Amino acid sequence: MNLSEKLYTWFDERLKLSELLPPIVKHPAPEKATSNPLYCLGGTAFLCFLILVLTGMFLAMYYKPTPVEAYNSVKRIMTEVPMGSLIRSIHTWAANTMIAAVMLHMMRIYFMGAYKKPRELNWVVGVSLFLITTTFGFSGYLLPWDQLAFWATKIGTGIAGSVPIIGGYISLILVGGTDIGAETLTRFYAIHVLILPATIVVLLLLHFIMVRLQGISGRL
Amino acid sequence: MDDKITLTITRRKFTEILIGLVAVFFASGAIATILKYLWPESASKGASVEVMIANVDEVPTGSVKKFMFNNKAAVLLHMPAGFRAFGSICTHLGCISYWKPDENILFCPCHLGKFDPNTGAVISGPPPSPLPAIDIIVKEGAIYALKWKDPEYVKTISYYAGAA
Repeated sequence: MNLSEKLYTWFDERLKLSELLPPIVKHPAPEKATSNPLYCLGGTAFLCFLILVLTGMFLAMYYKPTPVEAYNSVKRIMTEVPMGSLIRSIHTWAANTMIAAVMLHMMRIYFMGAYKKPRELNWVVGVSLFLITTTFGFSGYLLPWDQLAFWATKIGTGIAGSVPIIGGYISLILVGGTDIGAETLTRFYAIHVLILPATIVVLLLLHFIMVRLQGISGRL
Repeated sequence: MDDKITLTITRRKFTEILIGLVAVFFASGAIATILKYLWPESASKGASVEVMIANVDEVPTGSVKKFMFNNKAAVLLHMPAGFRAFGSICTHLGCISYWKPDENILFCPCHLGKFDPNTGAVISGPPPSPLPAIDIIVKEGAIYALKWKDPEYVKTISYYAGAA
């Protein structure tokens, strides 16, 4: 018995791996799904998400969410921190790719009619995931605290404020005041690195569980 | 087939609903607390306060000084006719307009809005209404901003929300 087998047996005796793993891992995807790259779009979005989590963790170590330091800390990441510009560029590109992949994934589901019974609930969860992904993009856009970020947030929170009746309150809570400033920056930072990640992990779990329960739909 | 929907209320069901309502009551307390926590302090701010903008000799004729009035960008101009102060947020789409001495205008760079530096009135461009004037006073060699000249007008401009 070699070392890896010994290790496996050691864990197997304690965690019942040979009993629990096969139904989860040994699950061949249908041929129609593995032969067509269109079925990879959801996985691409998830891969982007994993890259974003990883690079985001590293960015958070240098980024400072205050009006005085925000722009300079981003500048420092880009110019002084070794590999900083690489990490941040990967974060940016993965973010853009994720939005694109999510939208294409959604179109694939729509045009193949994969949202129909019994997968309606997974479509609903998927739309929520799409909204969360765009909110991720919107909240992350403010963090560099440059002109582009400031005015994009001004317009975005202005749109939120134009919702009838409750719009004013939404933009007040979002902005943390009547003007975009220090409060807005910390709020968007908290949304971007704490609230949204927690939410998306729960929804992704639901999404994947439902894919396994309901299977991958056949083509029309 | 019987299509009628019947609703039977038993004592047990009734009690369960009551307990549910109590749960909703406690949950709404938690939500109210969270909303109260998130509610920005500055939203419940009172009337405008007097702020010192600059010393008179800091701003010779033909020069300007930017300042904040009620958390909004504002500008003090020393025109040949005397001191003038306006909120400098453009009434069109909320960009910051600035003093352009060669054309003698307050200029908004976003969509080329031009304002009269003496009155705040729109000269040309898309802004729908004038820049709001700020009442100022000069005392002991310093210039102070007192209040909006027309608070009712400021309340009508969305980009000055919370400032009047």
